[in-house]
Amino acid sequence: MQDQLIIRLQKQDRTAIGELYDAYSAALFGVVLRIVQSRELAEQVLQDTFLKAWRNGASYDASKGRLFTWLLNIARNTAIDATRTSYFQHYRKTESVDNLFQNPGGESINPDHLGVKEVVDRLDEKYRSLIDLMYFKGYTQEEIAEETGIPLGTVKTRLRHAIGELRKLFGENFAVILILLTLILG
Amino acid sequence: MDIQSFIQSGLLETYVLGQCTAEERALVERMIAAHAEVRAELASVEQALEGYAKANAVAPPEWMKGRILDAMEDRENEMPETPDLSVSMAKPGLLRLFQAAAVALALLGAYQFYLIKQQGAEISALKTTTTDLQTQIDDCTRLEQRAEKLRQASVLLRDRDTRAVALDNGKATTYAYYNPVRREVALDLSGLQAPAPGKYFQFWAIVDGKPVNMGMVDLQTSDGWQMLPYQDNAVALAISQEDNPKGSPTPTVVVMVGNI
Repeated sequence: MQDQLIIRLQKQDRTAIGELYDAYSAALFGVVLRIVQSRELAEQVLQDTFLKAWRNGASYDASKGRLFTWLLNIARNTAIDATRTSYFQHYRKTESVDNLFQNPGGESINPDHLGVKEVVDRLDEKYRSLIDLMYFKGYTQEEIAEETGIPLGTVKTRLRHAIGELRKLFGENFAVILILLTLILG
Repeated sequence: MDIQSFIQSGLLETYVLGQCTAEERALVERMIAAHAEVRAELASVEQALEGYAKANAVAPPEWMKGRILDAMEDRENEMPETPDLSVSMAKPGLLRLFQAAAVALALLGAYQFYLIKQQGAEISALKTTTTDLQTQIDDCTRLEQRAEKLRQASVLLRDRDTRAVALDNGKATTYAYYNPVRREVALDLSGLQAPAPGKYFQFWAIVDGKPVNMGMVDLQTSDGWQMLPYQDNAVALAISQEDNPKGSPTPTVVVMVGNI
């Protein structure tokens, strides 16, 4: 199923984009919206993201990462490019860190994940803000170190811890099964 | 590199977040390709971040999907049909660059052509203006010359020493004005009838019983006056009719004569 989808994506089949849209558009839109902080711009970025995915489908290599990771990096780069215009640059730099975590415009959250959202909210604030800065704001680790005054080494360690926390929420069971499988299959 | 310390390094996390350098990326990809454990670790990190994104999901507007599908269809229709898709997709960036360059060049060329045409039109407009101006300058010069001639004629006519010489052929009379003090001669052309077709009038002064050439009568001058060269000791003035437009050394047929 997934393999078929990837083959169609690599052949620039439009139906593949339709399926990717159904599966990932809401998750991508959430990220894009938090990066660009403008609904209108986020809609443009989301459209550009799927058009880029369609055009560059042949460049997707399943051995280097999951489809979502690939799509997310296209979306983040497109969104960050959109914020590089002088207006958005100014907007981002002058915004206080507190504002970064407000749900923009009280958008509706995908109800399937409401339970997860509540769990995420319980993440240690220092980890959550770090992940949000990188994930939703497109900051590099160097920029975070510069802006927060936290040493770069600490930023790197905390990021790893933060993702470790997330893995407890989303990835651990899956990873354990995968490790076991790869061990068994050699 | 030792697998555990690679996993601990945090490179996988920055790789998933798309924040690696090219070197780090190459290292991560080598490690993924070589070690199942690294692949499992990567998948776990990816899933964690995917889960986090889904937890923060926001539904895009309903119409968005249709717009994206339409946009793809539009662009697909714009793409030229190529028999070998893999070749045409091999370097889409470069191809697009060439296409863009070609379009840019064509536009530039068209613009240059337009500019040259515009300049050509401006130059011919300037030429027309220049010609018009030259015509007006010529007109002014002519008017000035004419005014000067009329001024000279009026000065001559008011002078006490000027003698009016009536030139007569029995049917018509015209006047020449002779001033021995100012040494000037003027001919009033208004009383002179045009010569027969193909004939020309020549002006003479009679000095010591011999005709002296004073030049051709110019009936084309519109102001009706012609200044003529002065001759000392003239006793009479005469007009002859000639066949040659440049005149004759001696009068051919004298048509008018008058004593001073």
